[in-house]
Amino acid sequence: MTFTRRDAWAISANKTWPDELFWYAKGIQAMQARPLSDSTSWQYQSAVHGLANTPPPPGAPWNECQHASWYFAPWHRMYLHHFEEIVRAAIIAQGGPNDWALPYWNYERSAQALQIPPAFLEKKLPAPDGSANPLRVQQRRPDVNSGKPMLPEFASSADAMDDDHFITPAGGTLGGFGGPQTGFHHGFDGFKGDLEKRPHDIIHGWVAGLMNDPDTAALDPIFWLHHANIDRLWEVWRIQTDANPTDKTWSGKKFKLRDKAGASVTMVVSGVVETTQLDYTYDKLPAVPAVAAVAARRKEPVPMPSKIETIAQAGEPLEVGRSGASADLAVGALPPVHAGAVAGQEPRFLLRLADITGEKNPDVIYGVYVNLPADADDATLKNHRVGVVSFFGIEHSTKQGSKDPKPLSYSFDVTDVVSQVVEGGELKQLQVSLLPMGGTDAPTSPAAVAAPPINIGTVAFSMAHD
Amino acid sequence: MTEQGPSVTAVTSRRLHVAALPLWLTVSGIASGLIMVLTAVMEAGHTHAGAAGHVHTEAAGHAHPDHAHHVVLIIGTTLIMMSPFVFPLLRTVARSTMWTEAAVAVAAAWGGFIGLWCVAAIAMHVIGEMVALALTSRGAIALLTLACVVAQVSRRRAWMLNACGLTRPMRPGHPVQGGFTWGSVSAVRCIQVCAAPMTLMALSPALASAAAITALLWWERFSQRRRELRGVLALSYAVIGAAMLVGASL
Repeated sequence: MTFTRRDAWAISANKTWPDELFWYAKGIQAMQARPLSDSTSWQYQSAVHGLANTPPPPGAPWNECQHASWYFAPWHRMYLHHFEEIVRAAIIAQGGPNDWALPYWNYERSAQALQIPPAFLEKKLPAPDGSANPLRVQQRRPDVNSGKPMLPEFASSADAMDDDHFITPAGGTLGGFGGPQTGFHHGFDGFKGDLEKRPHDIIHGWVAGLMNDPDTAALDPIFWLHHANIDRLWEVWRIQTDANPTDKTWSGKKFKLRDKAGASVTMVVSGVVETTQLDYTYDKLPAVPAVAAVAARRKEPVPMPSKIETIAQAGEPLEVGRSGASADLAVGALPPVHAGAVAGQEPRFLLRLADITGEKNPDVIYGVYVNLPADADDATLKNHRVGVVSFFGIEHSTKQGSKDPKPLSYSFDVTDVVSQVVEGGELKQLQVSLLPMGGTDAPTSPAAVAAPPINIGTVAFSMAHD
Repeated sequence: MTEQGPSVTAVTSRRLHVAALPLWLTVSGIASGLIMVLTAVMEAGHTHAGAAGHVHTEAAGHAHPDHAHHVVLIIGTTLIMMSPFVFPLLRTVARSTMWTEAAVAVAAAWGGFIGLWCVAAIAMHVIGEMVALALTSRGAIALLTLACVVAQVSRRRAWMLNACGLTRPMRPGHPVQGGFTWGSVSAVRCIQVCAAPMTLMALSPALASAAAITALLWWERFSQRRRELRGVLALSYAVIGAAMLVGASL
């Protein structure tokens, strides 16, 4: 049987409680009643993603989530697959449908879909059940639980879906859909792939509360619908580009999880590159394009800039509080290759925010701006914005029982903005600003408000060229 | 155009050297290490051959040259083993430093990393000899082999290996300080990871065991399947340790 994952907003169009979400809630109730020692329990499944300060039982696949890694998409697909089977088994045990599949939250579907689906706001399950609704989580951002829509910029997958290559090159250059080449990487240090940067990280930041810490994120039921959408985006991208890695290091990588019977199972990446390999699909997927169209989009080999040179750098770390921060950078002459570039092979400019540490996510989503004028209106803000960050995983930059941090890094293509301030082979001015977006600097929790500033050790511009 | 031509050419030429500097330093390090090892081996052989005929009259006088050869051998071996590890570090330093200061920063990072490693390698030899004196040679080999195996299965090892590649902020105007600090900090992290195998190697500097341990260290560092390799590496260290024990017993 092939199970079909459906758009949560499509099935919620005329009713708050479509069958899929009602039974999802019932499945969660059953899982939440199980003890942590049971691998099919809600807490255990969350611990597979991450759990702080609790050592795992021998052999338990806890603290396994893959981030800032080319295993980000495949590991989460494996994780969702077994979670979905566990929930389905719990649903069937209660007399629910045996074809239940996990819905997905397609926040890009419409303006309405920028809100969390309505079933996640209800305090009780519908009559005659009437029990407490496990889909509602009080710790979320108040705006989320009041049904306020997020900014469309938060939900945008455009950067990721425009990528024509999967692997994020070293140094974070050239985007990359799926993340950098790593080994097993349960951490957030290093550069992330475009899919992970946005919408993945930003949705975690928007929902906030449990969702904004990797060690608690999977305790919020919306986590699973969010990741089903991330999984769907990977499937759409794969169909459109046919550009998943062919490297055997990637396809041969194995991960251990627990199945619906509680048994340890080993899954290999090559076994999950298409959803049909796991007997599920999505209600709407693009038709497989003609081979010629795929080949035209995919560039082989992917052109990688062979040289990356820093052209401007901040003299001090940037401390980012809830209200944001700005840094003026030391600028000067560009490397001479800039002036001698051949048409069509002009250098590209990158903004690098690296060596980022922090103790607690402030639940603020920041726009990253270059040379933003004072008193900028919305249009000016949009023109100068080069990215959006939520610092998802920042807690991992300072903990793990080590004195050494595991800093986060981001890079953004700023070629258009920087090209405007190059005159006679010299940079005239570069200022970087991080400013809160969409009212996310409003308090969410006492801990988030009390969070010390995020420290960005490196703010630098680079020039990438062949 | 005429006036700008030579200027751009000169700068471009310098820039090409900067871009190639990490690889150049790495290859030079390995070559220098090979020369030092060969020189030390040949000189030591010559010294021992000479000493054999004058053992009664000049034995005390040969103690100092033997130590010097030993130090040269240790530094040469360290250069050969650690130069591949310094390459990714230097490339990252080059990319992270203002392009006008990159060459200086890379050279400083190389100095910090290799310098600290050479000091640490000498210290490991001294510690290895002290342990051997306290436990006998075979006891020291057994202890350090156990340390290598335990280190492999340690939960913290994956994190420590990952930390070897962590970056540091560079500040404009401070390429020497920034590069040297980055290189030194990376060396400290690297030494923590490699201390047990390197000290084990110091106990019995036979070519076969040195080559085997070097191969294991490189394999572990540059593999993307470190997690899967842990058992294989632990077993490999156990086998090497057993072979060294057999060798020490002969």
